[in-house]
Amino acid sequence: MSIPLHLYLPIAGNSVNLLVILGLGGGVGLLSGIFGVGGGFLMTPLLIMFGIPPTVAAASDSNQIVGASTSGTLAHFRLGNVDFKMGLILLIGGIAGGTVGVQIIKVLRQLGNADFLINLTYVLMLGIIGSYMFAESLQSMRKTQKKIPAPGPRKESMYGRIVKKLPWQMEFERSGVRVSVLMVLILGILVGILAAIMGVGGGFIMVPVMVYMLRMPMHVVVGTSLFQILFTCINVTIMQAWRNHTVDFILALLLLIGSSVGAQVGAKLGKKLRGDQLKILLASLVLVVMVKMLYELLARPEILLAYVGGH
Amino acid sequence: MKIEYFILFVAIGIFTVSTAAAQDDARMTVEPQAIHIGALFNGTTLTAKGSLPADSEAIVRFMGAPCEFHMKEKGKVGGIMWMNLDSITFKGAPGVCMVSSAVDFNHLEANGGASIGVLRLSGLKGSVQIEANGDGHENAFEEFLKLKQKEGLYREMLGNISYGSASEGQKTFVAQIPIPSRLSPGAYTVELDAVRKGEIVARAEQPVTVNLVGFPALLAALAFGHSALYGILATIIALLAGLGIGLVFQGSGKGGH
Repeated sequence: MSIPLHLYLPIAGNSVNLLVILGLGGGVGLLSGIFGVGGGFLMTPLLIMFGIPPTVAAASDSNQIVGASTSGTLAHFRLGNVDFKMGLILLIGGIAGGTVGVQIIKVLRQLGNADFLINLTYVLMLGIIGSYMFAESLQSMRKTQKKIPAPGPRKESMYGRIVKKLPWQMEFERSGVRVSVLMVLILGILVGILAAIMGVGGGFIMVPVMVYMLRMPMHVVVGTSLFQILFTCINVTIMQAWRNHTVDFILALLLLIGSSVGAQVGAKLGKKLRGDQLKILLASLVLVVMVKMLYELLARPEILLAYVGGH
Repeated sequence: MKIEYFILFVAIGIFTVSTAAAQDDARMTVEPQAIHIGALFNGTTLTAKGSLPADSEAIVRFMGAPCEFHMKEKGKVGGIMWMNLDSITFKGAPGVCMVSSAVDFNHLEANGGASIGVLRLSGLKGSVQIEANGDGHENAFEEFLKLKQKEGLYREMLGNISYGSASEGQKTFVAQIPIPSRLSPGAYTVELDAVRKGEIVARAEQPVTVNLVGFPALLAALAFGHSALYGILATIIALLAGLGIGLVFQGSGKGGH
C-alpha cells in the first residue's frame, strides 16, 4: 500500500511522496546532528538517488542550506564563535566563486555534461575527505592516548613560511591568526565554485580549509564557516533560480523542515557516542556514497541517452 | 415490374452497406476531458467509453503532441568513464504514449495484418526522425524507448479494457488509462483503434488538455517568468524559516554545517 501524501513539484516536473522527502531531510539532518557536520554533501546525492534531476537537486539543496545555516549561525553568534572579518573576506571570494560556478553549470548544461561534472566532483571530494577522515580516525582509535597534534604556531613548517611571505597580511583577532587577505580570498573563490557545482554550502570543504590552511581554532571555524556558507548559498540560490530555473522551493522547504528536526534529535544522540566512533562511522558513510557514485561513472549505464540540460 | 425489382435491389443494397458501415464504426467519449495539475497531483486515471465493431479488439492510446527531444548519447571516455558524447535529436516523438489493449499484442499480431504494429511503442520508429552527428546510432531509438519507459511516460498495458454487451454488430468498451505524475501541461489525444485480424478497421479520437492550476501554476509562472524575484523570495522564506527554527530550538547551538 502506498502512502497517499504526494506533492507535485512544478520545477522538478514530478510528484514526490511528502513523507519520503521529509524522511530524507530528517535522516540527513539526524546524521548532521550526530556527527556535527553538514548534510549538504549527503543530501544532493540522496536526492539524485530518489529520482530528482541532479541540477534541481543541487540547486534546491542550496536553498535548503540557507535555512539550515541561518539557525546555525544564529546559535554560534550568540556564543561569540563567528569571526566576521574572516567570514566577510571568505564571503567575497565565495560569492565570486559561486557566480563562476553557476556559469560553469549553465555552459555544461548546454553541452549536456552538468550531471557528469556534479557526479565527478562529488566522487573526488567525497573520496578525498572520506579517506582522510577514515585514516585519521583509525589512527586515533589505534593510539587513543596520542592525540593528533593541533596545528600550532610553535613549529614553523615550510607551508607556514610561504603563507607568511604572501602579500597583504592581516590580523584576525577573533581567530588569533595573521594571514594574507589574498590567500583567504582565493580559498573563498575555490570553495564558492565547488559549492555552486555541488549544490552544497561548502562546509565540509571549508572546515578543513580553515583548520589546516588558515589554522583557525575549531570553535571559531564552525561558526565562521556557517556564516560564510549562509551568504554563499543565498548567492547560489538566487543565481540558480535566475539563470538556470533549477530551484524547487517546495522541495527545499520540505527538506529544511525534515533536516531541522532530525538535526536536533541527532545532536542529542551524538552525545552518547565516542568521538572516534562517530568519525569513523561518518567516514564510512561518506565513502559508501562515493563508491556508489563512482560505480555509476564506471559501470555501463542502463540507458545510453541523457537529456541536454539535465532534465 | 422491372423498375420495382430495381428499386428493391437498390434499397437492400443501401441497407446492407449502411449496416456494414455502422458495424465498422467506432465511437468514444473520455472523462475527464481536462487534467488539472494541482499541488497534490500524483497522476490520475482517464476513463474512455464507447463502442466498436463486435468482432474487433480495442487498442486505446493516450498520446502527447509530437515534439523534439534534444539528447546526448553516452559513450566511454578514455575507455574508463561513461559520459555524454554525441548530440542526438528525436523529432516527432510524442511526449507521452500510453498504449492499452484488451488482448495480448503478440496475439493480435499473430492473427495477421501489418497495421497493428504501428500502434505499439516499437511502431513509433516509423514516425520518429533521428538526427545525430557521427556514426553508430543504430540502437538510438531503442534506447529512447527504454528512457521513456523508465520515466513512466511510454507504456504498453494489458487488461485495462473491458467489454460490455454486443448488439447490432457493435460492442461497448470501457478503458481505464493510468496517467503518470510526470506530466507536462499541453494538448493530448486519446485514440481508439478497432483492430480485426491485425488491421485497423475503425478509429476515433478525443482531445484532452493538461494544465497547471493553483499553487504549482503560480510557482511555475514565478520561477520561469520572474526567475530573479523567485530566487529572492525562495531565499527570504528559507531565511525566515531558519530563524523560526532557530528560535524554536534555541539554545541547542547545532548548525547545519
